[in-house]
Amino acid sequence: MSGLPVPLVDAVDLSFAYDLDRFRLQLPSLVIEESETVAIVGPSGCGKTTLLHLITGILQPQSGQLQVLGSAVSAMTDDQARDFRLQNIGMVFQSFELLDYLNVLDNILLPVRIGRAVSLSGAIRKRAGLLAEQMGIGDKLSRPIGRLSQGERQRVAVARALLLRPPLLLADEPTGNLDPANKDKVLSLLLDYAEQEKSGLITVTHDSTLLDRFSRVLDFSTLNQAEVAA
Amino acid sequence: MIVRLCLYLSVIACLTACEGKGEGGENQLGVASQTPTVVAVNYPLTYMAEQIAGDLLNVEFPVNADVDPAYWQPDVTQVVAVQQAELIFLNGAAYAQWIEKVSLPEEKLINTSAGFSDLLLPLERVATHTHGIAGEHTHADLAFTTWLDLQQAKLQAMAIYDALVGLLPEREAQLTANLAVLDQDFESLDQRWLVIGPRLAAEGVIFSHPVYQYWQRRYQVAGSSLHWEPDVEPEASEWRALDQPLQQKTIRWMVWEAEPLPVLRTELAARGIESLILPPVANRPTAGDMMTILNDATRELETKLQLY
Amino acid sequence: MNGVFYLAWRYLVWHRWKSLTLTAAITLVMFLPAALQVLIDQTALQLGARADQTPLMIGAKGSPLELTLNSLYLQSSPPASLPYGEMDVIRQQGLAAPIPLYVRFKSRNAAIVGTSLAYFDYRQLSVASGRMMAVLGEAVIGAKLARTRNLSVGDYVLSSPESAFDIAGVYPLKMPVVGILAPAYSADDDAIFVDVKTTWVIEGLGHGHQDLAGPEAVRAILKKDGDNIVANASVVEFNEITDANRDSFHFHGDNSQRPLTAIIPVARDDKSAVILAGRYQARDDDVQLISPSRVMNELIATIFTVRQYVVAALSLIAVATGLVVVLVFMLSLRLRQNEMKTLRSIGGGRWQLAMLAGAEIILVVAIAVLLAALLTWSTERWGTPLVQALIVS
Repeated sequence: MSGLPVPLVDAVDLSFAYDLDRFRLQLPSLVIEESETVAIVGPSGCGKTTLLHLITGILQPQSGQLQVLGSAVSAMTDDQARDFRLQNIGMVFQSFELLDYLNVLDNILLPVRIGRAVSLSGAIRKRAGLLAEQMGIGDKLSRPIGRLSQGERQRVAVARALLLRPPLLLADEPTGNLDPANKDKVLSLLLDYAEQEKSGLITVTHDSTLLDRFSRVLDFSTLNQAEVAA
Repeated sequence: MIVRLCLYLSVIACLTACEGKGEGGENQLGVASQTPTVVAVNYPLTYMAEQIAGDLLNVEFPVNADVDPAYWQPDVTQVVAVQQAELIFLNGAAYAQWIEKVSLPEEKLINTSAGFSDLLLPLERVATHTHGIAGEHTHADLAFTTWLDLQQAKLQAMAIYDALVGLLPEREAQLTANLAVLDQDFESLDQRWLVIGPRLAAEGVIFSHPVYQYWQRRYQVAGSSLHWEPDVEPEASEWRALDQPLQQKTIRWMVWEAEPLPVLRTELAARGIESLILPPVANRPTAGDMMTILNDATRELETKLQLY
Repeated sequence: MNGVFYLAWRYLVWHRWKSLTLTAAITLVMFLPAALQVLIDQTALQLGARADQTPLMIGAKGSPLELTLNSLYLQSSPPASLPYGEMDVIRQQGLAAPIPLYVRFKSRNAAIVGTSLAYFDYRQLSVASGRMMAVLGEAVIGAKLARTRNLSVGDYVLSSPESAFDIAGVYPLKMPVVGILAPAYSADDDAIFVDVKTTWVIEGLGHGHQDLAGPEAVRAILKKDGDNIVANASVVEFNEITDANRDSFHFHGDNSQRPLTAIIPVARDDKSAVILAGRYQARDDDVQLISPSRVMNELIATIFTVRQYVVAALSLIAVATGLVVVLVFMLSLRLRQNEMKTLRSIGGGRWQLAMLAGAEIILVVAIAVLLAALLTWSTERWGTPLVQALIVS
């Protein structure tokens, strides 16, 4: 390989619509460079989360090309997309999406248990413990999720997303349910990781107070041509 | 090494020498050999079993010497001991009423008079009583001194012999030989009593106690019975009961179970009645055995009757 | 542990009450028919074993089932009686050794079995404490009866009147317990054994009373008629046989006419058994010879027929339970939709997620199967004493 930087996301004439919905996403072009930290804003329903699902390969576009980290996600099979997602993308959700029947450690290790690409090794367990320590929840590994505060839960979610050192982090409203102190804490964790690991961060957010911490802000309502046309 | 080997061999030799018959009649396997035990309900059956079996058996007769075996009541310990016997010889004729009140293994019970049960005699006078819904009923209604008829005694001995052959089949020859000797003894005495009986009858005889029914029948000795004990002086009424038949017929002899009191001999002699003794030998005598006792008594009878 | 099964296990543990309920329901659905089969097989075996141990039974003509149940299992009302003289008839034929049975009376709800010492050898019953009965009136009791009534050697059992209104009948007889049998795991464990003559005393065919010739009986005498003493009802009859009064006990009437409910003829060999059966077949009187095995086989066949209906009912219940279980799983899956979405987002494939949902079901069913197998094995292992305790005894 030539060593040239590979864009995080490179979408060309991307088009998507849900079967039963008239919503369509049309992106003529979108490029997010390596190591960028991008905040995507826009009104509810303009397709922000749909974009994230297309990037992760959960959804497949009807037409167009989408490359993520240099891989043609839009051309992948379901299994390929899943493996790609597991190894390259860390996801953080607004409602944390933790499993209440698992403790902190098991939630952090969830991608390894549910995926097949990576096996649960001693090194992975050790990394989970270290991440928990970094997040300030190292002493709560055996605690059920229900006994954690909101902030602590989101930090578990962040630790889970960072477990396999993904080169791309996707966060969908990661601070939406947090108080100001925790918002700042969680966002700092994500941005610090992106900086340290030289990974990309794409965050969907409604919180305008956080925008200046990102290297780039995209207004998706203007990007999505289907929205513009509507 | 040779010394050690010799030592081992010595030990083995010593151990081997210690084997063999142990104490108490143990055989080489160390198992105690046990002589079978049989039980009889009266002395005549005991005597018969002893004569037939010899040393082959322990013949137990659990009744105390001072008790009439017909009315003996065993205690529980004695019953438990009887239960362990290989055979239990019963007289039959409702003798030994204790049999009805105990639990004994039925397969071991040998009724020695079963062979002539149709010849058993009812008692002449029976004490009855009536109460409740059962109505009149009796107690002890058969004469039971069956062995005093020596032909019946031979049948009882045969029943004992049959049972013993079943118990010790390998000794049949010895048992048969012993039975033959016993049979001969009974037969000899039987012949003598066949002479004595009619003589007594002819001269008039009365019996002190109703225990001679079978003897009377076999040896043709007609005569009534009193209820006198040889060691008890009768009441005046009992003397009157004796005097009454004396008015109708001559009675020369009274047969006793045992030696009567001197005063009884005297009183009877005054009435012209001489005492004779014919022991039923229901219980074991203090000296001698059944045949010696009966033979001696018979000799006495023959002497008194001047049959020699 | 495999990731998917580990997650499924944690899910089940977290929702432990739901998991336990489902597991219990599935376990029961699988265990009940199996247990029923085992218990019925054990019952048939036990009932059959007792009957097989007693190839022949003689009784008065009547219901063979009643005769068998009364004589072998000491249950049911007593059949018509047959005379004791039949014992001599059997002995004289030389084909079998007869064992008498008179099972008519009870001590509360425990059968009083009048028999002989040969019964204990025949049934291989041994005395665990005390000794075998020796004299009239003594009782030896079964192990279970001793335990439930807290009886030991030296205690007493009392025969129960046959009817509360039987004022002219026999007084209850007080019987000392002289021995307690070792457990036999049969109907004998609940019974009271006495000499057959003792049952005749209970019936009033034998009794003991004060000496009517003695001075203490003066008031009981109505009149003396020659040698016959007529007594009134005030004569004291003993309701307990002791060393002091045993001598006074006596029986009335002909011994051969005294009643039995059954006789067990222990044949000398198979040929003797066949000959004996043939002779009884040819008899045209009030006595019958039966084969308890045949009688019990007919009864067991009836039990198996009933079992089929029970199994059919259980099958319907199993179907209903299965439907409910499926519904519960389906509801559970619906509730876990968001969870599945999350797992898919973070890298779970469709197959993995299907396995996760399926693992919950697989684990519950697997545990239920294991439990059902364990319970069924336990029933088989310990079902015998249970059956003996509940059904046979």
